[in-house]
Amino acid sequence: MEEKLKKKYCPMTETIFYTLLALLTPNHGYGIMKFVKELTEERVKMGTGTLYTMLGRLVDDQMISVINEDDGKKTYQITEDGKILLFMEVDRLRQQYENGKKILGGE
Amino acid sequence: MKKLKFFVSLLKERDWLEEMATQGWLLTDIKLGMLYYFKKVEPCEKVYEIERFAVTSNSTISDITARTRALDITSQFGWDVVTHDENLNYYFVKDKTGDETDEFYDSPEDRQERAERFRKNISMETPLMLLPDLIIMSALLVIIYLIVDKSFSQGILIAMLSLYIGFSVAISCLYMKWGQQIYSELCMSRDEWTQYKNNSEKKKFKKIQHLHAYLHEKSELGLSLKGYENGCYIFEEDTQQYNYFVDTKRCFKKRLKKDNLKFTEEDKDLLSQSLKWHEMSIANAAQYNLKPVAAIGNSILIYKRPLSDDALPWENGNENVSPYILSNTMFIILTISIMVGFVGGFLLSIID
Repeated sequence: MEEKLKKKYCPMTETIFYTLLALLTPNHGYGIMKFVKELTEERVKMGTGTLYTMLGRLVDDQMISVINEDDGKKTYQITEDGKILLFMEVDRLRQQYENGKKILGGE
Repeated sequence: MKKLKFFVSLLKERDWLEEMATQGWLLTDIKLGMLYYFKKVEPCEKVYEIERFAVTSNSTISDITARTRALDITSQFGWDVVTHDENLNYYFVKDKTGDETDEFYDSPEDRQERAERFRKNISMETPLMLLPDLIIMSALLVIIYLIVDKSFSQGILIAMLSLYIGFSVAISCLYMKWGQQIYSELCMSRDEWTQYKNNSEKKKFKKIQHLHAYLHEKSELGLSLKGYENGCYIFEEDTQQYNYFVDTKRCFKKRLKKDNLKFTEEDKDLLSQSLKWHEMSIANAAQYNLKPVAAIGNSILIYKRPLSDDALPWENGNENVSPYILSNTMFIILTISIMVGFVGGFLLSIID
């Protein structure tokens, strides 16, 4: 994977993070939105435009790919590169979380 | 039903279409950007959205495939394409559900990206279309003069050309301003827009006193000035009452003069873009506990301060406070060059 992409997606926005999570199993646009909404208990919301702009960008960068089109609905799935970045992001978040906890002195 | 209406503001157009739906009129088509066709239905609540996918001179593959991808997703979310206009702006409609799907873009960055597509189209592509027009028109005039008809003088030719160039430049400036206005509108979410609409007013004042009176009146209604953008005064509800003070570059210079100081413009600042007097005025005003709230053009600053008996910071003269489209220098250069062309040409034709 190109170094440029790593820089672009690390850190990644919350919407991209959850979209990639949603696409670990093949899904279409509306399905992604519903998955994310349920998983985050309605905290992370995705507008129609936001979703298609983001999917376009992710397809361009080969983080996800279109696997098929049935009745006009495009189904997307995460690629290997996408998975690598997702793991990198989880690692980064873990560090961020631990740093925060250490300095704030939480439990 | 057919309705002829022209909107400068895209979001006002959106509001109007939604209002029409509540009266039972659904949009079916738009022609020439101002002829709206409606069909009669039961009164209902709809949300409209306007989107742009058209290719530009530097489109990426992603821009080109954007429409297919977008139409796939919008239909899944319940948005139907009503139509698109001659400029390839797409009109979407959806039943109003009152939840987050009513909002097309929910991140500010995505809204900015769409706004930029519109601004690019209005501010850059449209004025650029004037350029070939300008060249063809000029060439035609010269050809007519040289080949067809030498009976009208060179002077008239020059006069007509300079008028026409002036006209084209003025139109381009208007388009640029319009694009800017559309941009700042489209950056707003639905909530932000409603708030902006309720709390802002497009106003122009010739004299400082009128501006003062206006702000004072608003203050008594419990509204305090928050900013100024695209010709609109933006207010917010505030229980605190304020006094407003207006500072202008001229008034500021006069005050300096009184103290035997001289204001020197920043070096090399041909287009009056300098922040120098603003910075000096704000520093000066801070001594009187004044908070800067808005800037109009590049020569007016508005301050506010909670009502008090504190000393007045300065006296305002009887000044003109209308903002200009172009910076003063640009405006003067443009006017002079057009006038010279026009008058010169005219004189030439008389001498002939």
